[in-house]
Amino acid sequence: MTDGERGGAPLWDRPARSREVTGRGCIQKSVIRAVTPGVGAAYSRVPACHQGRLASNLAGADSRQKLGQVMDHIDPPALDALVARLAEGDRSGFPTIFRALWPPILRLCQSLLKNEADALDAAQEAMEKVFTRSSDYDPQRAALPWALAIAAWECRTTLRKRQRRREAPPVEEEGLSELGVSAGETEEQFAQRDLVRAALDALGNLPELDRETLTATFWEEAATTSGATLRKRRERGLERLRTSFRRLYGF
Amino acid sequence: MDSEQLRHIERAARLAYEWGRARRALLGFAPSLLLVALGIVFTTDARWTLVFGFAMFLGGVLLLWYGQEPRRAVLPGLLAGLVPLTLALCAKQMGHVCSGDTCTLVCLPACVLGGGVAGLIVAMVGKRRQRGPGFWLGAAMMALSTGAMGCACVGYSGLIGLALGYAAGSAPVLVLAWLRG
Repeated sequence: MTDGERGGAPLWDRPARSREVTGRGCIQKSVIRAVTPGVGAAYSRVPACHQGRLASNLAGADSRQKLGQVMDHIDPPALDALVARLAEGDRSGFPTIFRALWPPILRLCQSLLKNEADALDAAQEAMEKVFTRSSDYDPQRAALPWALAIAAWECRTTLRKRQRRREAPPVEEEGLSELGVSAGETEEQFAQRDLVRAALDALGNLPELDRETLTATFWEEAATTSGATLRKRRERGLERLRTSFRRLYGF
Repeated sequence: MDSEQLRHIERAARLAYEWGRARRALLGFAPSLLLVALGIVFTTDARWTLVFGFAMFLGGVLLLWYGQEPRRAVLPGLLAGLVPLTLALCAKQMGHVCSGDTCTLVCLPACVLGGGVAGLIVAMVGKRRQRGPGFWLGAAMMALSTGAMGCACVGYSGLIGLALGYAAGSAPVLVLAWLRG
C-alpha cells in the first residue's frame, strides 16, 4: 500500500500532533501500517482504536485517575535538563523525573502488552533500566523518547517471555471475557497482537537511535522534537524497519 | 495502583540508579588497579602500597559514584599523583646519591618534589576550569593517595614530605586566585 492509497502525506511528513490519532491504539495501527504495507488489507479489518479502548478498559478509570495524581507535567526541555543533571550525579531531580516518566512508560506498556499485571511489571523493569542506564544518557538526545525506547524494548522482552511460556492466550482470553470483548473481536485481537509483536521484533533489531526516533514518531507523547533532522532520521529508521520486517517475515 | 506501590517502585528505581552508578564507577576505575600492581612490583614494602592503593581505588570509585564536581577530580588527581609515585619509585630503585664523603637518600626529596608538582597540576586544572571545593578535596585525596603508594617506602617522613610538597605546590595558585577574587 502506498502513501497515496492510505491517503494524506507520508507519515513522517505529518506533524506529530495532527496525525490520524485519536488513541494510543491508533498510533500502534500507524506503526503496523508503516512497517507492513503488505499486510495492510488484513490489518484494515481491525476496528479503529480497538487497542486503545482495550488498554483503557484494562487500566480502568480509577487507576488512571490515581496515575493522574502522581503525574508531573514537565516541559520536555526541562525533563532533558533534569535527566542530564541526574546523569552527572545531581540526585535532587530524581523524584520529579520519576513522576514525569512513570505515567507515559506505564501507558506505553499497557498499550503494548494489554495486560495490566504484565504492563506493571514491565513498566517497573523499564523504570529500573532507565535509571540504571541514566548515567549513560546523552544530553544531546531527548529524554522521553530515550526512556520510551528502553520501555518498548522491555515490553518486547516481556512479550517474548510470554510467548515462550505460552501464557499469553489463556490470560488474554480470560482478560477479554472479563472486559466483555466479543469472540469476533478476540480473533482480530490475536491477529493484531501478532502484528504488534512482529513489529516490535523488527523494531528490536534496529540500532538504538532508530528505535528512539521511531518511538518518538509513533507515540504521541514522545514526539518532543521536530525539524529536518528528525524527519530524515524517521525516513531512515522506517526504511530500516521495513527491511528488518521483510527479512524476518518475508513481506 | 496505590501510592505505596508507587513509592516501592520509586525506591527500586532509586536503588537501580545508585547500583548502576556504582557498577559503572567500579568498572571505569578498575584499570587503576594496574597502578597498584606496578607499585607493588617496584616497592620493597608492599603492605603500605596495598593500603594506599586500596584507599586510592576506594576513593576513586566513591568520587565517580557520587558524581558532579568530585567526579571531575578523579582523572586530574590520579594523573597528578602519578608524578610523586613515579619519582618515589625511581628514587627507591636508585637508593642513595653520594657526593664526596656524604651519601643521601633521594626518596624524601623525590616525594617533596613530586608532591609539589602534583599540587601545582591540580591547582592549575582547578583554577582553569573554575572548580569548587568538591573538586579540590577530591583531587587532593586522589593525588595524595596515589603518590603515597610510592612515598610510603621511606615511612612517615615520605608521607609528610608528600603532603607538604602538595600544599606548597598548590598554595601559590590558590592564593593568586583568591587575591584576584
